[in-house]
Amino acid sequence: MGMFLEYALGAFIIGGLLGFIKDYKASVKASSFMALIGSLALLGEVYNVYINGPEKLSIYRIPINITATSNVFLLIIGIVGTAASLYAISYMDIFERTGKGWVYAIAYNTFLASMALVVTVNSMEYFVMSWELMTLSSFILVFFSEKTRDVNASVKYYITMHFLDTIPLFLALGTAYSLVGSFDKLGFDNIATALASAPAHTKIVFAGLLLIAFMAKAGIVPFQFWVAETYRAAPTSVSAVMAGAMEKVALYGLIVLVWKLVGTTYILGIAIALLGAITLTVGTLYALRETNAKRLLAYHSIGQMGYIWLGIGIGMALIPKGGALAAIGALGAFAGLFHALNHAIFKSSLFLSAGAVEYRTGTVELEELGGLGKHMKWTALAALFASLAIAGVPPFNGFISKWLIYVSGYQSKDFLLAFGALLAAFISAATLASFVKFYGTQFGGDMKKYKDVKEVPGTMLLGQWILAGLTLLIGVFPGTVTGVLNVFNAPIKDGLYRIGFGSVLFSPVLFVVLLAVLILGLYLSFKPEYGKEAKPWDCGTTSLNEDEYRINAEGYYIKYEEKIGSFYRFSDWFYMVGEGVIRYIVKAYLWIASYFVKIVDTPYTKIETLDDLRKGQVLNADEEVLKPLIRFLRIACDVLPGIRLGTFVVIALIVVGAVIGILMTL
Amino acid sequence: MALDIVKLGFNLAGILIILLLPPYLDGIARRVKARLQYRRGPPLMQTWYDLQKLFALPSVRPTKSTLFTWAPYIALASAISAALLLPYGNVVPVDFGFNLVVFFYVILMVSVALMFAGLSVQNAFSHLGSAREMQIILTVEPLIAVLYGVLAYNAGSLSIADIIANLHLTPSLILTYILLAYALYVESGFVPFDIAEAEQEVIGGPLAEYSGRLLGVFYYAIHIKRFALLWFFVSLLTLPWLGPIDTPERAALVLALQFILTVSFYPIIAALEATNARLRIDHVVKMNTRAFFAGVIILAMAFMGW
Repeated sequence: MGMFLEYALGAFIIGGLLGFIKDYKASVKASSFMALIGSLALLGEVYNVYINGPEKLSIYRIPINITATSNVFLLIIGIVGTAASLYAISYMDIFERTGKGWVYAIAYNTFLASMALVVTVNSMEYFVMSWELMTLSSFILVFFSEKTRDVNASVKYYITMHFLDTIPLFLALGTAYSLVGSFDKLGFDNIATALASAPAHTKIVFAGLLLIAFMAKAGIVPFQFWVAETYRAAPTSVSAVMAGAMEKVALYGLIVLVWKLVGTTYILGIAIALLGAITLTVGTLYALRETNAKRLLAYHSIGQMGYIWLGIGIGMALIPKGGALAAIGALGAFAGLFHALNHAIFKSSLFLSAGAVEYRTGTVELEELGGLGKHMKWTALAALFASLAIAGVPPFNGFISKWLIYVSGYQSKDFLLAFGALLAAFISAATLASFVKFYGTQFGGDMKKYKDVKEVPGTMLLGQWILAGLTLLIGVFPGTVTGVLNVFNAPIKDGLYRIGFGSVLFSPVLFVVLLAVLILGLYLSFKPEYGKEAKPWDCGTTSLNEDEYRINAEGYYIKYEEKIGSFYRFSDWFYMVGEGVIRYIVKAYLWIASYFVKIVDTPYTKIETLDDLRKGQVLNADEEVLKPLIRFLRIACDVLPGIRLGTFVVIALIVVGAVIGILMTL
Repeated sequence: MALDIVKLGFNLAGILIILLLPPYLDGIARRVKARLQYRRGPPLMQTWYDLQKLFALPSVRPTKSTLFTWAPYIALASAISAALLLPYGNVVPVDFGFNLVVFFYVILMVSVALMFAGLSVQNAFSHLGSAREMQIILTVEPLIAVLYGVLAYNAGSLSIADIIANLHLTPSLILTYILLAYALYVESGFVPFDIAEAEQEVIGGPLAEYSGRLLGVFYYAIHIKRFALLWFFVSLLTLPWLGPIDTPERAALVLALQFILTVSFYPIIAALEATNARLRIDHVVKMNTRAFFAGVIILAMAFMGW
């Protein structure tokens, strides 16, 4: 019982230790492999809990409680971790020039282990501790490439997390402590009991603090400003885990700590749902005009988290109302959780595809890419599957969960929730637009520039296809996961071949069979007949760079973006506020730092930006205090061997005299 | 057993209508357009003849992409699947999810196939056409989302069967019908919204590189898609007000009504097409954005019970 979780943590620890192998390649490969084993063990644990029911145990004296809800998130971490780690075995080679395999090994394994702990621990203090470990290890991974732009992104990420995650979480921990009165009793059960009799404002403060922390981690508007650069900077396999799993951990916090622990009201639910609706709109429309593959995916992570929060918000708003509405609420919450799993799968898959392209071409800029479909067939197909899944095209998994979110929103009889669903349905088209661009610019057409590009190594392909295959599998047979996912007891109708709510049903199996029969039937009865081959029609130009004969990534939807320009201007303003706040916080940090740090080569340089700290050789305050002593010891080391007895006697006499003199004066 | 035969009959009628009627409808439209311009016009079978000819011709191959070859078949299969999800009389030929969202997503798959097909070739014109197609969808989808909202609130469900059974007449519903007619007209890509294909401008857009049989398959898919959208509109317009359709005779009458209305709507569409010139993409975006805000007001009206 619970053994699998222990095995997993053990594997992660060994994975971290394996980083100390000297050779870079060997160390990243071995540690990624152990991370893979650990993630598989997590999946074993999920199966175990699914079969045997929730279990309580303690590992290294950490109280663990794997509930049905934890299990959903362990499943997410397990799936994403498995695919990303398998992929990383080859992918991490491209960072060889940093030469710091051990940093990756420790940080990556810690990252996975801390996430597994966050969703399973049964006590507030360990929750906060694992959470901080997760933030710290992900921060280290973000600056792993050590490029200036990436380091800046990682610092911004860390400072944002400090102010919006660490501080609120510790304050919440303090609140919890003041409620239960002892550090030994910070288990969630005790806090729940104490909260039940706590005054309303305590509850509001506690829930508010936690909400800020979880919103910041999930990238919910207005705290979305750190996401794009962070995911761009991190190694792609890590971005996949961050977008696929880390964001979902914030959702776990929302469900378990805010909803289950503090409780929910209609107002709170509506607030969460509206935040979700705003986030999905802002995130996705920003993604639409992005031309860097990883930033595009990052903005979509924001957008898709919006969908998930909308679903959970519908649940939080309607379940307290009871009756038929509670059923719709449960459906919404279920759909949100389902979308969390689906998003984890297709978003990691997309990140892995972007990484595969980066691995072979060295860039993720959509403006430069093109024509890879011919050379990287399997990567292209995986990217196509995942793109259709995120765009919610049936029969892929994204369709089912989005559709259930629409059903719950539209049938909620509540204008605000219906409006949220309306935005969600509209934004689904924007998602499609964005992924038509994502796929088309990278894999569509033919480009001479990339004619020698080859498919990526087997482990990377397998990593992508575990996820891309799941988008189709879950899309066609949603019944495979609904058992694990239905922690809200939503009255969904699901069988082997249909899923739905009330009379609103969809039968993916029937649809796929119909579509496949039609496609194959039509194909075979009207087989394509090709006559001659010809170059694409270019109106007879004589000198044309064929690589440029296409529409560039920026030009795809430019007219649309111009027409909704006022939306961007409005949201940019919000963005600027967030950015501005972080800039001032950085300034405050630097101001404090200027009292503790000195730049050595040019002593009177003012520290104004982070770059100042990075460029010069710096001396920290503690070093400065100890420096005289160190200098004395150094001199002593140089001088001592040369000392004669006479000199020693003289020094001894002086010391004794000084001591006596001091004693006399006293 | 007898009932099954009746059902089978309706299924068969539905399938025949789906497969045979759409090119005829286009023939009607061409004739009407010609007459409006004081021309004699081609025979009603002309679109069928065109398709027949295209199917007989081999295609020119501009790329080795597999997607390029398969996309037309995916588009045609999606269009037929969507059309099979509509009621013919009281029978839905293949009920894999008789609700609004599923229907519109399956219809959308025709455009998805079209766009990916356009992007699979290295040709700026077809890329441009695909991007335009997407921008039109981007502006139409919010209107359809409004429609989901009004109908789901009005009838209490997104299931088309429930909507047909429970819809009640309100001012917001009438406005929704108008909005729906507009949205479906735009989504069908009739003039002045034929921006994606825009023959004279971007030489056929996503279809620029298609020829011969593959082009024929695509055209056929587009005709069926237009038919499915119109049939959906006609069904939604008539079925809720006809009371329960419980006898085969009644169902046959309803099917006849659907058929006649579909055929008689086409001249109106043709007249609109003949009297309008193609809009620019930014005009369409602007118009549809306004229509969306109007739609949100309609949704608010629906929730206030109007």
